[in-house]
Amino acid sequence: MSAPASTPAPTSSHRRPHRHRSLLAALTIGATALTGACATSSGAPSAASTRALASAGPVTITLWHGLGGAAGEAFTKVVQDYNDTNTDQITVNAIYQGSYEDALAKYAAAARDGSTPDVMLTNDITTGYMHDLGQSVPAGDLAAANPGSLDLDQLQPAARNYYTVEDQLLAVPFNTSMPLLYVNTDLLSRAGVDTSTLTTMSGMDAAARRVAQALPGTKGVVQPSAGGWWFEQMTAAAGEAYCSPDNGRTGDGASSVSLTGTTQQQAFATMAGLGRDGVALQVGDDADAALNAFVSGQVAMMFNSSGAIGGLTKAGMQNYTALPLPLSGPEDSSGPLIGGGALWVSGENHSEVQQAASWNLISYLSSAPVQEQFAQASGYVPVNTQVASSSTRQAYLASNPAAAAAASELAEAPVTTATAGCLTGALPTIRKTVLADLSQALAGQGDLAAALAQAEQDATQDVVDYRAQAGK
Amino acid sequence: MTGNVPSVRPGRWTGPALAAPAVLLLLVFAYWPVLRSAWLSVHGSDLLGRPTRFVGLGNIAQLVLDGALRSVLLTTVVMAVTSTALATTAAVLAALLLRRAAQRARGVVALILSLPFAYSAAAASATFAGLLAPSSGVADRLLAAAGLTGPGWLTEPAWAVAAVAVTTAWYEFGFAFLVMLAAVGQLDPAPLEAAALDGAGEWRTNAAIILPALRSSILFVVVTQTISGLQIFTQVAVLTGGGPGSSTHTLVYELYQRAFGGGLPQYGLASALGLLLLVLVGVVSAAQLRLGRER
Amino acid sequence: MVRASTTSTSRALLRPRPLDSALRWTGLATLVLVVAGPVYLTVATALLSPADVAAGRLLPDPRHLTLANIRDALASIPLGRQYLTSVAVTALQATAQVVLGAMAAYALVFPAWRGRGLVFALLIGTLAIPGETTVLSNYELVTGLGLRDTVIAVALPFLAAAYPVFLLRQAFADLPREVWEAATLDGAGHLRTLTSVILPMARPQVITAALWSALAAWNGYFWPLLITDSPQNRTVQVGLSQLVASESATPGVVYAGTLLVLAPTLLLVLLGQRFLVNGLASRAS
Repeated sequence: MSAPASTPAPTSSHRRPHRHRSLLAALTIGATALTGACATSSGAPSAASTRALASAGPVTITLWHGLGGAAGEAFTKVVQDYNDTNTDQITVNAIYQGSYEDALAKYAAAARDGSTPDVMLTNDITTGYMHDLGQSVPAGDLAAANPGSLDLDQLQPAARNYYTVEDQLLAVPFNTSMPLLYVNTDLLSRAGVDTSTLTTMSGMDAAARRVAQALPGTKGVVQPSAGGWWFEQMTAAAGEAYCSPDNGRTGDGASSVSLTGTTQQQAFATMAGLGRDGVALQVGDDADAALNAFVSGQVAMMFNSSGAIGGLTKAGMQNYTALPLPLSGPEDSSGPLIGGGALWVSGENHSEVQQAASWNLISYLSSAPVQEQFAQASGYVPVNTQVASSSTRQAYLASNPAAAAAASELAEAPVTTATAGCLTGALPTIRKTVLADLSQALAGQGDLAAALAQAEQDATQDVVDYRAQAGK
Repeated sequence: MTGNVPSVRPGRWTGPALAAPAVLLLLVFAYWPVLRSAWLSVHGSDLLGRPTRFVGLGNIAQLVLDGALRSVLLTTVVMAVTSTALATTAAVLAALLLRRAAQRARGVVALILSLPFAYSAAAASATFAGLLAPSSGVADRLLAAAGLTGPGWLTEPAWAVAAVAVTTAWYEFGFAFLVMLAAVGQLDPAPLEAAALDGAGEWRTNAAIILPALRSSILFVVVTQTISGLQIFTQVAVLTGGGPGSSTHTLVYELYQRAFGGGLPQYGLASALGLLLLVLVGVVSAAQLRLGRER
Repeated sequence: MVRASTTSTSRALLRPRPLDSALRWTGLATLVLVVAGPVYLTVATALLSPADVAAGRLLPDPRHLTLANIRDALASIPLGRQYLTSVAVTALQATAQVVLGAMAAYALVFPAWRGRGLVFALLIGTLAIPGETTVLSNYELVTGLGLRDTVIAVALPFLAAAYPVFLLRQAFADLPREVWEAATLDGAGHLRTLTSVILPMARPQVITAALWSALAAWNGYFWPLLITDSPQNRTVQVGLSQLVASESATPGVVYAGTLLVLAPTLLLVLLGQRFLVNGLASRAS
């Protein structure tokens, strides 16, 4: 069990005892003097941040990101809007640094010579690395130091869960994607499959086999193995932790990977069985091929991220529905993992004023109207719970059922250790290792149990190597 | 002018002073890095690539033990040998064919054949990238217009390796051709005229007299191209990005990925790769000196 | 073997036979096609509209030539600014290499001093060190100086190079020594002697060295890629690779960018071939 991220300190003034006002004032002035003396602090910001920002002149902050394509354009527009409404104080210089990988490599290089950007937008799997680098100020601390800014309770709990370690939120999720099961409604009805059975892996398995049998020449399901995301998804949907202890969220982080949990193995075995029996379409790691096969009706069901909705719309496909990830574990502790990216504020070599300005930007980017605008333009899922009550959003969801499915999946995802995902800086390496070791077995070739044991061993070695490199 | 004009004889420090800037710069940017690489290669890396604890020959052993790194070495050697063979053969052939060609045409053809020399590795790679891009590239378009489909030029491992090798060969051909052309132009005409008078055909002359005379130039071309082949990076970065999978990872590309590629920076292993490259280049250069001396 | 009589037979032998000619020109034509094909492709596709390329119509039709691809290429990456960066880097690197190389070559040829041979070996020894082996340490050094992502950082590790030293040393050594002795006897300082007496006499080799240095600087890719981040500090070669990545669906735009990047070196090859070949001849020996 893991509690949601820490809530910011209570900001309503009625909590402050009036009779101690003078003492409090003296303490605050003292604190301001102290923090004013330490201009380049790298520890937790104090309550004077907001005041420091207010009294400072114009501030320019830099932001690095790896968003290209439609998402990149949407992001640029949102940042431009911020700059336009902030003309007398904060100016944001947002720089596209190439892919997420390129952006992170540059960030590491910048960390060496102390020239990191004020805000870093990086993807989910780098969370462990960013945390271990120790260059960033946790979002929880910033929220506490800037009362009246972003209320962390407004962030979707399942999304916050991913970026929370020991009850503290590290980074604010910005562009969030969800795993979905897309189904071709025509093909399913022709095969006599009831979509309400698709909430579980076994239901999905039965449906896929039914389609393959009833409609010869059509495959039941496709799951592109791109990136290894799906191994983690299947594990979370089985209600089990991918790495231990506690998915890496306690103590000094993960020390091993687990691929041989009972329910987890069953989920893998289901997919392998579909591959072996020719029911699952094999596309390797080519997500585009999976999409094309789904659009052309070669396969009845497709595992893909919510980001695929854009591709389906562009291809003009109408006869499909998006369903939440099928579960194989108990309903209250199993669920999907979020994907996407989050915003990190750099602390090392950045003044309190810069940190406060960065937090100001992040509050803006996480606000309901901006999240709604960005989500609609980019295809990501809004991370602010208040978006759901917007009438324009409701109208949009009414005409975009797939987006509605992704949004409700995020809102209803249980908040547990399993669904928080594995936190380790070795995650990108683990994904490659696991993919290499398991891709054949999950396509139904060879001994699955042996492949899983081998993958578990290799992935754990990756974690051990990482810990050595991180100096743990 | 003689007499009382003082001569400016070089003092003891004139020579050293004039040579110093170049020497110092090369010491700092060429020699020191070799030492530093050796140091880094026997240490581990932290999360930012800074050296940490001593690991002895661990990184260097990994070069031999890790299957992925062995195949990187194999890929590099295959590309180097293939591109060198293609470019050198074509260059020698072109120079020999042009030797007896009509004067006016020879100038034009020589100019055309030296055009690849104007291309940088990046420009040549961009050219072949546009040619071989899947479905939108010129090659696939032309094939589609003829109703055919081409192989996965850049998406199948064997074809991708071939694509990089051919791009390299094309790009290196310019240099190789210019060298061979100059060498053929500087041949001693006497033995050639004697052979012609003896009634030897063009290709007999080529084989018996010219090729042996060109030996040192051919050796030079083969060696420089092999060394360039061992250093292939740009072509991989632009054409295939190392893919598909890691089938086109060359030594230098692997070095770049390990140190700067976005995963965990592994400066120790990357340095070991750099040292391996140094050793390979040294071996090839030494072979050139040996072969060049055997006359 | 019987010696044929000289005149008529030898003339007949020297006349190229028709079969020989046909084979020769077939061979040459094939080579020209393979070599010039991509060059033609670069130019033609850059100047044709995407529709023409998509349909496979690659023959030049003057009515169909368009500059749209060039416009798109310039819009996609800041090629103009990168041109300036490349020019600055090339000028800096080539000038430094030739100047420092000339100084070192002078020192290695004319004044006698202890350690001269050792220094020569030291300088030439760097020819055996591939650039990629030095990359990590140079990266650490340049970053440590705070020069990451600056234009000067691109040229810094290459301000001195062995090849110009090698070339100019050979050139200076071939000059008559009396000229130097006379110049120094006349009271000219060493730098003056170098600039007003020696260099003018070795002008072809100086130009060759400068051209080779400039070519290497213009074509550099690995180091500029590594040491710069911002699009405006990158050289045209790196910019070109980014163009390939972002515009792979429209080869016309990629080729337009390639053409723009190639223009200077194409001119160089067409006009300066003589000097480049001179440099080659001395390297090969």
